[in-house]
Amino acid sequence: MGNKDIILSGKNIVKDYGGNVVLNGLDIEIYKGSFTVVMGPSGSGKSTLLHVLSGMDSITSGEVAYKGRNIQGLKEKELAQLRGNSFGFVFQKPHLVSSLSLYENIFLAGLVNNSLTEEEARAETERLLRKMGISDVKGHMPSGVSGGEAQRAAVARAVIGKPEILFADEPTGALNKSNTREVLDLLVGLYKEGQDIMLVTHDKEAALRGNRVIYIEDGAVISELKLHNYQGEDKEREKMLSGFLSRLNW
Amino acid sequence: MSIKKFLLTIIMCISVVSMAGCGNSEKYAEAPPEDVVNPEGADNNNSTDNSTDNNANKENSGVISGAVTAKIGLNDDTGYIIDMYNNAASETILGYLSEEEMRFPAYTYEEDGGYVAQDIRGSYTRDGEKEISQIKAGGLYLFSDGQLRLYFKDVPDASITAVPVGYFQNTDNITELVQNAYKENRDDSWGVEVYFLITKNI
Amino acid sequence: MGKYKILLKPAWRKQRFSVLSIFFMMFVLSLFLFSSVTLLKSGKISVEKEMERLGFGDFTAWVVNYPEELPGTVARIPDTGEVLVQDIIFAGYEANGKYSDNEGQLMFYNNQFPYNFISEDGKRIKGSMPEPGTIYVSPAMQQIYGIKAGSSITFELSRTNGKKTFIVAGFFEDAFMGSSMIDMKSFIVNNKDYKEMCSQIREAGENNALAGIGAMFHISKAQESRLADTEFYQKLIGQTELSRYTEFTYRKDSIMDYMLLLQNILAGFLAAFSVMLFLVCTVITGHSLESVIAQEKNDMAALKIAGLPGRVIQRVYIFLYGGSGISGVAAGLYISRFVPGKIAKAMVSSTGMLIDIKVPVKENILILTVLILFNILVVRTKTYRIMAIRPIQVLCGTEFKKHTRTHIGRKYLILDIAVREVIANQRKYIALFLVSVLLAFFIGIVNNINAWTGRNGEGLMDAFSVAAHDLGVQPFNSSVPMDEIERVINWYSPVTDKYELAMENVAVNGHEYTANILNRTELFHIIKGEEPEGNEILITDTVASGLDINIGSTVKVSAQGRTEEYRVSGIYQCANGMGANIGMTVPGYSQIGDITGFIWCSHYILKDGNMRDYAYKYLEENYKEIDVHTNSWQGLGGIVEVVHAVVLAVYIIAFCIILLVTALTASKILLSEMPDLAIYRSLGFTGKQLVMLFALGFWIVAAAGAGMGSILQAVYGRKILINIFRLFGIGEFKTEQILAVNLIPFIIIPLTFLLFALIYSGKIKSASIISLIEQNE
Repeated sequence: MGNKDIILSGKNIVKDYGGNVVLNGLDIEIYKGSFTVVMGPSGSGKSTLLHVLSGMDSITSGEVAYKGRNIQGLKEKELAQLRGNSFGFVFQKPHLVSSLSLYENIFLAGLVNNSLTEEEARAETERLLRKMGISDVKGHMPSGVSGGEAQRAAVARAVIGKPEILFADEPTGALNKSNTREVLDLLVGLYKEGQDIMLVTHDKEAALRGNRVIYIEDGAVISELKLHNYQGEDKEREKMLSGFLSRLNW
Repeated sequence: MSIKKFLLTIIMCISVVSMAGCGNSEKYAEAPPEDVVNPEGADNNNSTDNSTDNNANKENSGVISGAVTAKIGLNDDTGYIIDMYNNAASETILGYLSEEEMRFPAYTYEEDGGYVAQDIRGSYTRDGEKEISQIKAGGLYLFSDGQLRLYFKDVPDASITAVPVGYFQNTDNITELVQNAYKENRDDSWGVEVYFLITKNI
Repeated sequence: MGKYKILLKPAWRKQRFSVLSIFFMMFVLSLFLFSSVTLLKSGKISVEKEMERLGFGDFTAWVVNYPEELPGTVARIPDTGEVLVQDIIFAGYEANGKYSDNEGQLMFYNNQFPYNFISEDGKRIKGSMPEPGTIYVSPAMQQIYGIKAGSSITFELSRTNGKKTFIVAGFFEDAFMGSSMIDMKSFIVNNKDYKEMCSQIREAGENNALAGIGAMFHISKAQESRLADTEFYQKLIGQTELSRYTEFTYRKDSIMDYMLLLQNILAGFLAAFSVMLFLVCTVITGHSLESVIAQEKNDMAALKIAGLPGRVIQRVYIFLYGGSGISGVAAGLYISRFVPGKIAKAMVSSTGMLIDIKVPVKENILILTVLILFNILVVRTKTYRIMAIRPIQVLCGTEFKKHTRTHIGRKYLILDIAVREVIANQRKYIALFLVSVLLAFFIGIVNNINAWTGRNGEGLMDAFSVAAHDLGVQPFNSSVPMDEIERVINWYSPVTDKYELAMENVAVNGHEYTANILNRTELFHIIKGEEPEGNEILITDTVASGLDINIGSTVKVSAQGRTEEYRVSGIYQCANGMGANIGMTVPGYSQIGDITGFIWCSHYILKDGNMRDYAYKYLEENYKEIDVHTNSWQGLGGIVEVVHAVVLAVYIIAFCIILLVTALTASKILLSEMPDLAIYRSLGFTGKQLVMLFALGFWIVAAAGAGMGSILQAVYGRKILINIFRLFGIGEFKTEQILAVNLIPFIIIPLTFLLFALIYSGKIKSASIISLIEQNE
């Protein structure tokens, strides 16, 4: 686990969908160098938490700050820049642009990111395609590749701009077992290369990849578990997480 | 200005221009000044812009040599060359003629006066109008009332005021030719006294 | 039945905008189509009926100073049915301070020619003998001279105090000369006034009289005659002395064409526009159904899994879309019972007639059948896809997109992506593309007509003149100071060109035509063949088809009792007299006519054509013994106004169509593109960029369609217009603004689509990114 620099924080976050309070005065801090996993039962508000922290959704009250700057007051353009330059997203489904090839999907994200020149974006796309093991299908359209390949392309797309935080919302939810493992290993690999990650999942195996597990319920943080960095299969680690979750009636 | 407003403005502008056409500069309806309507002294130039052609054929002497060929009557194939004076009146007449042969009727035949005549249309400036006391056969004169006369006889004691517009180069048999043409044409249904077949050569 | 109810309700809720739009479009197009057919048909029947009622024949010859026995001679020709003689006085007149270009013809009311009058509230009333000193005029006089009841009209009968002034008592229906297209106008006066005027003219003597006494011979062909109209007329000319006294002759068909020209232009435009609207509507219906099926296929699959046959689902959509189309057509048909009457009433000052609206049942049934059958065919064909939906395939399937390669770079990122989206989703944009093609084509054609017509009707003027000119001055005697007149004209604007023209009556192979004799034959608008020389003539398309002659034919041309043979050297265009004219050289005409008379009119082209009216006014006021005219005629303003109104209407309707099409297609495309747009947004694109991305897609497709439409218009538009214009005797079609004509639709259509798409897709901006993503989940 890294130092305690807070990169993203939420204070007293309330998200109310017309009377349905999904986040209820939630406080959270995401640290630089962390692989944060958010867990919780269905309807606990974990995905909503990811949405509001990443600026994809607004909050009813409270404060969300990225590097100390309140992002709620940002203009649409500034928010878009934040999404393009500082945040990366991976969803349950790959959500690749259907009219672009895998290569173009990743390259486009590189273009949107201001830190890369067009040439650098091209080179980085090629590097990520190799890293994700999908170079041989790079010219294929999303409809012409497997779910795993598409999700790996989605991960590559999310990290091409070297975001400060990679938000992953159930990234393996639609994958089979082998593809799930591959994608999770990729996330770990990225973390090891210095990529901060916030992963929302209800999958214990996915949660094992993180070094900090936050458990939320009814829109509030209930508990938190700190783990060592993932080094491969580790029975002790599994036990710790199982114990943590069983205490929370998981 | 927002993109929408900008686009709307462009579309409206193009539509208005395309439908309304371009603007028109209005000039006040005024009457022309007196010097345009009645200039002091004769205006020797024809007032249209397209009247400058054929200058190359005009000789220095003020005579357009061989300007017209005329056949007298409908049955004589001999063409007689007419030289025209270089003045506005003859220029007007030349303007009416064609490089192809054209029938020109003369409704007036004056045996005693020694001329055949026909009114020509319009009343252009009669520049160089003269009082003439001696006329030679073959002379063409335009009168102020628009009558164009060809004298087919010498008139030694004439007293006319007209613009000389041209003359036949060869006048040897002109009297007989006109008289014969007149006789041949006595039964003309329109009352034409003598026909001329005229071709402009310039 | 219950299942249909259950299915219809949600389908209506989701599709009501599309369904109502289709209803609206079908309503408008059928209203236009039925109204135009009713107008065309009713106009023709009304004029024909009125002419028959008044006893007008197959030909009408205007004769002057004719011998008493002439009508009898004509009537005795075996093929002649009847000759009705209607006495008239030809006289120049001044109405509301304006001098008429043409003479008017005065008639007195009698039972043989029982003209109908028009009441103040625009209704037909039985005519009667006008009060002495009063006059009845054509309603077109309102448009031409601003005449109303109580106005005065003064006729010039002789040079010495020979004026007669009448007070306008009202208007009469003139099926013969009533149209504002016809310069010569008829007037009905009291019998006593008429006789007095005749005496006055006779007393004035030949030299002093300004008016003439003559008659119209309404000649009908005998029913048993087997001769064609032209053969019959030729026989009349050959066997009687009619042509010697005839000023001009018109066939019944020509008169009808003239009478209804304006109304036919308007009705023709309405019909053409409805056909275009029909095509747009078909494209939109097809597109809407395709999109709906694509969007609803999961639900449809689910319904099929639940055991509902595809046929039932198909019927629901046939009912919704086919039903809306058919009810639109039915509503249009119903309302079209009232609209043509209003149009005809509004156009009474152009047609000079009250048109009795008779619904043409046969034609309407035919149109109705075609529209309904076509609508059902389109809806059935498009909904047939519902039958092909396989439940499992749809629920598990993914959308396959064609792999396309277009450049994507940072510099024009939004444009690059928009291009890619369009190419990858070309099927969805096909309706938009086709509508753009149709609109650009149609607007291009209308622009062409507008450019040709000109701001002041220059195109029409040129079409109806022998050669272009701004002013024409014809001196009546040799005392007219033409040099002074030319100085005056030059003062207003320098004369850049001048030519002389005479228009004389001739007979070509026995048929009466006007000969346009021009001293500069290069100015004739020659379409085919060569400039005439000497004994050569030019003929119009109308003459060529009327006499069945062509370039190279030899014809006999007669005038003033003399006949010569001439060779046809070419076809030229001059719509005067509906194209019943020929072009001659001065030397050529000198063989059969007197070229020294005061038949010549000097025509001037001015450097600044806008000054012509000022020069005209000055000359008209200051020189009495000339005829001065511009390249215009009194009915022209009406046509120009109609054309300009039509252009404006086309632009407004085009904007409405674009708005409707954008709304219809954008909603469908937006819905299907939402997943991609959501992803773009999550990648860091702003809402504005996405709106622009979406709208640019519309712009690209509309630009491609408009480009295609403009090209088609440039290639085929002219040909179509030439064929239409030929019907009106206009054989040549020239526009100077070719670029503008095609460029305007090419620019305006895509821009308008872009604008409406920008407005429509504005909701992308406000849509939450999460809801976009969740829609995709």
